[in-house]
Amino acid sequence: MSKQLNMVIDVQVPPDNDTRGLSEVEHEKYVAALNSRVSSLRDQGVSTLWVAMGDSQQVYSPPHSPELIDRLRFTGNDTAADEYIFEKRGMNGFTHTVDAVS
Amino acid sequence: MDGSRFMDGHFGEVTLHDHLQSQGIDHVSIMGGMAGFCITQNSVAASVHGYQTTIYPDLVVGWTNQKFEKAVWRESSPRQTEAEIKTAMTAMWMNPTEYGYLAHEGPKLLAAQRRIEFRHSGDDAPLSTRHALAVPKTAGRAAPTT
Repeated sequence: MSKQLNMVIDVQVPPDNDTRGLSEVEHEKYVAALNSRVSSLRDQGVSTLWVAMGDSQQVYSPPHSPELIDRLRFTGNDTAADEYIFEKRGMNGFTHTVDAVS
Repeated sequence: MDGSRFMDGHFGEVTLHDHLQSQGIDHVSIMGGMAGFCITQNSVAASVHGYQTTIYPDLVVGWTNQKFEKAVWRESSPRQTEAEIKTAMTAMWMNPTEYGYLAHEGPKLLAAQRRIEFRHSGDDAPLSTRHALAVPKTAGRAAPTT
């Protein structure tokens, strides 16, 4: 029997001075849609792994640190995630070793 | 979540693949950002490693253009995000060494790309099916395919 995992990759809050990101309103709506999907999957027995890749961590947050989790939690981004994984060297978690799991 | 479970710098040489294997995962669904970067590279890598891989472009954030001037969430036009991802996937199999693969692995990446499904989170239907339903065929002319 197939065992599925939902992976949400690199959804973080942009820094205040980065105008390239989604607007606050767009971001809030997007995260709500994500959380709705994640909750639906959980009802189906599918867990969600929140994956934070290195490049964005270096831009948005202290790399692979508990502070990143706190920040995500504070902003409500992670309301439905079951597990977090951090990788700091690139964009591909399959080809680089993981730095931390929580 | 208990913050004390956080293991900074003590996870050893474990990859995401190892972590998924330890849980018996064989199917990954992927959403998040950015379309042409982490989403593309992790999706292709998952498929290369043998996972059934599904992307939900309606829940993926991309860039409005190649200059990366503005992020965009194309909630109502996920086919555009799918196209952005597929363009990035093409770059991968055409230039595998730039993405950490060996020069001869292009065909392997292309095969992996072709196994990846693009679905809509609303009804879990393939985007191609939804597209075909939304755009009726023109008489005497084949419907456009992408």
